[in-house]
Amino acid sequence: MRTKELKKKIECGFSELAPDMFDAIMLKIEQDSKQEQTLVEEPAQKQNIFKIVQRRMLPVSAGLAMVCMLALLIFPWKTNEISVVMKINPSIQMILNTSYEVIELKGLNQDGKDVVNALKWEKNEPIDSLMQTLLVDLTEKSYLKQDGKIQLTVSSKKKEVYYEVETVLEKEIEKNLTTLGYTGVSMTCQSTETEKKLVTEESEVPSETEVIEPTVQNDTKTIQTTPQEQKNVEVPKIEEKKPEEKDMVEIKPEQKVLQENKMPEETEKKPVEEEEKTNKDNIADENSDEKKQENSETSNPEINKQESDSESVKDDFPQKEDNKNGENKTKKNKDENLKNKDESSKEPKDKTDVFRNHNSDGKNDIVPNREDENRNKDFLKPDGENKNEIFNERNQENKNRGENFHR
Amino acid sequence: MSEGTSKRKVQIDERLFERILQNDQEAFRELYERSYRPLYAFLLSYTQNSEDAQDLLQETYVQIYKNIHMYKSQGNPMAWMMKIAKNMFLMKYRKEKKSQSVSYEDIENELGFGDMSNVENRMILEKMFEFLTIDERNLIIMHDVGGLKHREIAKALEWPLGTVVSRYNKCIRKLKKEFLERQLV
Repeated sequence: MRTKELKKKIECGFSELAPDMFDAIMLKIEQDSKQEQTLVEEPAQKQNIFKIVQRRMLPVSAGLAMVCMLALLIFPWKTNEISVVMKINPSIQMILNTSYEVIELKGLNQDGKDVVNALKWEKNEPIDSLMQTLLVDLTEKSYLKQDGKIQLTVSSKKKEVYYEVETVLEKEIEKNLTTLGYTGVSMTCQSTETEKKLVTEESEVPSETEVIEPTVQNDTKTIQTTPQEQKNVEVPKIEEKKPEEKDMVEIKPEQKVLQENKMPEETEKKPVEEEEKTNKDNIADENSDEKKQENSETSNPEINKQESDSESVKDDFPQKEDNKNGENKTKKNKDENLKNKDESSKEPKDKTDVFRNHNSDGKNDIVPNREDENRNKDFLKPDGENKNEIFNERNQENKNRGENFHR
Repeated sequence: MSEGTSKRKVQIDERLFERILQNDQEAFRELYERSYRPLYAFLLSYTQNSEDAQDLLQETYVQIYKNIHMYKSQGNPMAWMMKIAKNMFLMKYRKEKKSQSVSYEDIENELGFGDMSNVENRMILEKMFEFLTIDERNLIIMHDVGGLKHREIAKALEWPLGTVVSRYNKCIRKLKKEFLERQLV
């Protein structure tokens, strides 16, 4: 057998075996092409839909985000909530809603946390009932003692809400304390910064020389002014002190001794002048006391004038001018003082009134005068007897002059 | 060149590809008629199963049709088509992980030689699959059925030309010997 024959037979054999599959192949090609078309179209459609959604959703979502941001800026978070912080030793914060129901109860220190964790309370429980249970719990755990202090700090955006909450809490605490048998417990109420601003704006001081008692105390309640308000009252006092303090600094006892050794005449003059200043301050204090007496005893300005004139003439000429200025001021503010005294003499019905009076304290109050008295005392101490002698001599001279003037 | 191509057992004109690119179904049919026998033999040699060979042949022609635009004139289009067929086989058997070391008795029924009318042709094919390895069978198929020259086979298989020629001659001798022994028996 030749190789050619073998090759032919191999070729013929495979040609016999090989099937004609052209139709099947063409069908498959068509099916595949259809599937591919669908596969190509579907992603394209999906992509288109996705693009459309993206195009439409992007501005919408951006707009929503902007609205949310604006809403957060305009309407701050938890606007209507009221927070009440009660400090005994365990300080506890209660967050109330507008209907005075407790939403949250937090312990601000470790004791407070322990108390809150141990306390059985329900959300949206009214403040009065929760306060009752809380006070009972605190007395049982001996946190609250006789002659103890309860400090309440109420913070709310609305002014009215603050007063309402304060009154409700005061009444509730008083009731509970009386039932529990605690009599000597003092309670202080405070407001937060937002409230302070409102209160200070309302009670701006109309005149500088109003004299109102600094603290008003009831039997068991003391109302403390807020730190800002205290600052408002205290700041002008410090300003007034400054020039006097300078004078005091200039004349120290050691310097005086040196000056006396060197120039006796000048040293004699200076203490005299300073004494005159101290006399002025003393007279101003006397005037302030006199004002009270005048308001209480007499309402005739002429008699007061004569009395003040007679007293001023006795003392010194420069004192006359000061007294006149003081009289002018007192004349202007006498009516107002009378009104204020009448108001202050009465017991305050609400704490709010007292609160306002504190804010309307005059800037030239009793406090600097007391300090002046102390200064005068301190000033008189080092020189001692010499100054007293000079003072007496001067007084006699002034009296003589005054008699001559009257004559 | 035209004389060389006329001597080939499988003559495929490259213009057919241009026509197929223009969706000429007749051109694709003509390509199929000229190439399906060697491709089937090639795939049967690999798969040793007539059904798998038919499936692979179908998929191979689908791929040829789809990727006809990627054909570049490389002398004989049959080499390009056989390369596609081989890749299809490798892709399928990578997935199925079929072991190729199988005895002839196991694959005798799967080859589909029972339907062949010519006994001598059947005997020669049986000897091919019984005594020759896959590479040896493919050498004979590519050269005698596919019409590829030794040089083209060497290029396609990336073998040296001498090894291709010597192996081919050795396979033919071996097959002739086995066939003669069978005839004598």
